[in-house]
Amino acid sequence: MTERIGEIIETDSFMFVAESFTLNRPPALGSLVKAQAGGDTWVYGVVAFGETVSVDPGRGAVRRSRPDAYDEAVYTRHPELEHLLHTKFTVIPVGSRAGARVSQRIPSQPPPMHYSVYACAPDEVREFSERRLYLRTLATAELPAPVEHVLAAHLTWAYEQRGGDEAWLEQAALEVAGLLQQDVERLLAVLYAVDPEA
Amino acid sequence: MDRKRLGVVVDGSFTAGLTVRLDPGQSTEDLQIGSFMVVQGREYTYFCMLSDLQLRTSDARLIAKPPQGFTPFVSRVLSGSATYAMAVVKPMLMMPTVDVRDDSRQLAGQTPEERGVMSVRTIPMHYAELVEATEIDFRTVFGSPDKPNHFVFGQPLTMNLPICLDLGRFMERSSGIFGQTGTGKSFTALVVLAGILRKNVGSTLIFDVHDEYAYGKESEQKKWVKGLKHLFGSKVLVYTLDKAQSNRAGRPADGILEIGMNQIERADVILMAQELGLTATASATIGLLEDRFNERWLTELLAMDPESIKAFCAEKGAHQGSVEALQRKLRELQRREYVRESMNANLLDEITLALENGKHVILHFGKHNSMMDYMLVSNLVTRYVRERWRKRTEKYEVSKQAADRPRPLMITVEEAHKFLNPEIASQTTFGTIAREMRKFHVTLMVIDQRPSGIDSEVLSQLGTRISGKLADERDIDAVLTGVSDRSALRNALASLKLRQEVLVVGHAVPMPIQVRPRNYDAEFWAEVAESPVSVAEDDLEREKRELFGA
Amino acid sequence: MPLDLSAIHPHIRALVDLQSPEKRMRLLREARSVLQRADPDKVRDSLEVRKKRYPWLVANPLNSLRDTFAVPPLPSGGYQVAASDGSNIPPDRHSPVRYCVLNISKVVLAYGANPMASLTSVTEMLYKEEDLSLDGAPLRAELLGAKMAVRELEVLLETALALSAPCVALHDGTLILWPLQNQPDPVRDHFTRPFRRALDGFLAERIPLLSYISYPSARDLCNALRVALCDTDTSECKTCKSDHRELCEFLGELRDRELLQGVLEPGKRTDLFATVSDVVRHYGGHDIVFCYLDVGGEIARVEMPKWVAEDEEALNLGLGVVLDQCALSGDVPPYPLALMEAHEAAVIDVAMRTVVEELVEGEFARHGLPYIRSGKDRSKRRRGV
Repeated sequence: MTERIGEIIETDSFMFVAESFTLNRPPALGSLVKAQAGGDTWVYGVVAFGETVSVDPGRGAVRRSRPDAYDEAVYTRHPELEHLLHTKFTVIPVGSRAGARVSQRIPSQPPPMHYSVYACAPDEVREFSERRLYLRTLATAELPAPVEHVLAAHLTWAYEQRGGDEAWLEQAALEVAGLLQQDVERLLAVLYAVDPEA
Repeated sequence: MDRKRLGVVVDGSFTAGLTVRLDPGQSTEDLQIGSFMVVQGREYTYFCMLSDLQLRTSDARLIAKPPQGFTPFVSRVLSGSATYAMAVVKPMLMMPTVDVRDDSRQLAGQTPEERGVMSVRTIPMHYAELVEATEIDFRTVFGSPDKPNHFVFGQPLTMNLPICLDLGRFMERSSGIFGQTGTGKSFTALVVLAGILRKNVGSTLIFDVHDEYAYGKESEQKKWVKGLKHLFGSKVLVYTLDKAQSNRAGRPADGILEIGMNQIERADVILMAQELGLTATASATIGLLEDRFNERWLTELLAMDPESIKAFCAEKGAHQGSVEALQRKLRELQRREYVRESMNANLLDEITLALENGKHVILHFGKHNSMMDYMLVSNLVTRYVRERWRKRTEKYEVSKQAADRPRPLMITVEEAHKFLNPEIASQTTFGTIAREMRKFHVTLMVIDQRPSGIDSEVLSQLGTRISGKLADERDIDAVLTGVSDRSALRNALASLKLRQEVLVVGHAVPMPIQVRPRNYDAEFWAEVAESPVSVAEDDLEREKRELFGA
Repeated sequence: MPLDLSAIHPHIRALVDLQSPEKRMRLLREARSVLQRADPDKVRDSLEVRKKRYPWLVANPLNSLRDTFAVPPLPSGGYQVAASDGSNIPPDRHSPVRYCVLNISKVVLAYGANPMASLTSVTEMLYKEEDLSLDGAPLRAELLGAKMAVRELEVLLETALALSAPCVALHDGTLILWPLQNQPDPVRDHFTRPFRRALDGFLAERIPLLSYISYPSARDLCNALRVALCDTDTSECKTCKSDHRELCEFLGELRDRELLQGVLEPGKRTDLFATVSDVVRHYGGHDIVFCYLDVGGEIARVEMPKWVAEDEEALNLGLGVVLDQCALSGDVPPYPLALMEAHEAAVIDVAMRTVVEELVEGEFARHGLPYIRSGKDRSKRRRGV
């Protein structure tokens, strides 16, 4: 079993938000995660956004550093921040697993509120990303971040998880190119970002 | 057999052809306009010709502001996606896909029709795949060399497999071999002629004005190549106008051709109007002479003194100045070495008889290779031969006996525009033959570097056209006169390399195809040579020394 | 409808004029000079020996009136601070059922080698008759306030007991249960008794308890100056012929924080004063002492049980923690961070109030009990136009 990394605090059919168990360290943008959906069903999703904000929306964060105490020292001086701030990440569901069966359709049910989110191990990433229909789902989803950055982050992350699989990266990049061919600026942003030769 | 996929059909029409989106990673530079390709539809497999390649972008910004500094990765991904290529292919033939898989049927069929190939009647739906043609595809469409009358003419540009001409069909109608200087027209013609001789599909009469066909010529590589006489020996009769030539070693002539002034007709003279500097009144004047002297008109004219001319003019109402000018100009003919005062028809009969008996005749000009010699002799001989074939045909039409059926005859004529230009095509025998098609079993194989100089009516009657590269737009148009899918073929023609690539269109091939003609070399000679009668390479070298003192 | 600002605007300047700034500055200078020279013994004497009663609260100086002290720096190595605050949903007069929800926060912040924070709260629901009324009288706003103050102190003690020294307990607001001032003895005792027990608890564990009042409106010190200034009988103020009458009346309007503006500087405190409230007499001997502290940008009032004031170490630790907490808040004017978090942890926002109400209403509906709100209330909720 892989690491539990968060708990779902917002959920709907097309995205869910989880609170990370570590402040300031949401899972990598573009990484593949999975949410428990009861029994042996899981929802796969791609991390499309991460943020650390005040728990109380009416209470914004304010400057806490001093000339002699900044960065990590702020948290030492303000132990309450661990409770006042939380790190959330938004996940776009792109597939599911029921037992051994993996599908790249949007799951029919959103993952349940307060259920756990897990990281995916490299083997699982490899298995899921072997087919890449989900890239279309991701590219056309209503994302909390610009699509090119999410796609670029995912491609780079998956490429590394797959042990520097250049053939995969090139195929995936070609598919992204097909999806973004009407908007070349976005496409180029993805390509420059994922280029393993750059 | 799996074929390499190139792209998918995304658009198109029956008339304009199919537009194919090339697959990512498929470079346009690996494809050549005019190539033979296959589109796999649901029910049918379509045999197509690549007629155009187009570059597209999905986003106008890529055109307005081409991005700079691509890494190889980015350009690999971009090409085939945001920047991509379209191919336009023109379906020419099709066959049910189930039959394509049945190799035995394809290879067994004698004709494309028997192999299941039919002309296109429809087009495939979206996303049919464009694939590279395989050897089976080529064999399916173009047949294999083991079929009667099928002669290996060359290879496709991109593959090593035989492309055949159906020589029976080739000879059924007039044909043309075109190409600008340096495209190897005469070697192409030699290959075709050797094939016709080898397959024995008919007789040929060749006017070898440039001294290329009978005894061969020097190739571009400065090698002496063999002539048809060398390869086919007694099957080929060479008649020369050049007496001196007939005595030369390695250049056996079967006879000396001489022409009597009594055999020269008005049309022969008019044909040479330009060469002789005749005026527009010459034709009428000759007509008056013929009325008066019949076939002796030329002899009589040349014999007239000023008084006789005056008397003739008075008698026939001719213009004295014209008659005097004509006499002056036609003395040029009298000065020809091979022109006699009077000849009977024995020699021409001999030639004709040889052709009827399945021999092939080459008229060798030797040193008498001026355009006037060529035109005079060619037209005269052809007129005579055609007249004989006409009579044979009429006899056959009455008797309907197979034995009376005239043997197909193909007359090879160089510098064809001299005989077939629009001004005189209607008056020459060649023009007549070209227009009357195969009615009398006589066809032409015209060889020319300026097809635009040939009368378009003649061009439109050509059954098979073999063309090398042509630079002039008018020449390209001329070659494709009367051919369907002209725009696709025009591109195929324009994309040819200067040397060793030709486009074959028409009767002798099921569909147009670009071909690398076979090399006319020792290997070829060994394959086609009838018997070891032909002279050895050593002889050729020796002869070359004699000729050039090398 | 929004305010008609144009109706207010002309009066704002008049309001400024009414303050007569020049005169005010002169009197303020005089008042501060009185602070410097007034005799604390005279004040103590008036209050304690002669048991004079004044119609206003008078600060009773334990030592001087004028002295100020720099709060010494906190010992290094960190400290722990507990804080508590409360919030409630009061009984709703428009509701068919009476209940009350209290939410008392428990905040612990630990600094030093092992920084830690705990931000929680204790939620209580009051709905029994004995919880919601006292001697048959319903628990109205001021008594509910007293109840909150008592619970907050109890929870604070409970929280503070878990701390390890050095530690400080911070309470928000005054330690003086003003609402009980005029209540009958049994009512007063009902609250002061548990309050006193809590104070006992802090003393027993010697956990410094400090109460922080931001922007205090108290006049105790100014009133002490009036007492020091007075050479007549205060019962004759209306007929007072003294030369000091103008200054005396000015002091009566002045607040301690205004008086001390510029007298203190950041990190400094006044001397200590005892309060002279009647309620405190019922704290079982726990006199409440206070001082003013310049926390930087504001003069705050800090109250504490007398034992803290007398234990110099406890006093300096407590005030040091207050100053450090103010610094940590990062705000200007500052406010002790632990109290800020205590407030945040206690507060019941509007949404939560609605949730509670809907929970009650829903449960009633499930059991077939009618739950009909008053018409006035309904009209307020449905603000249609």
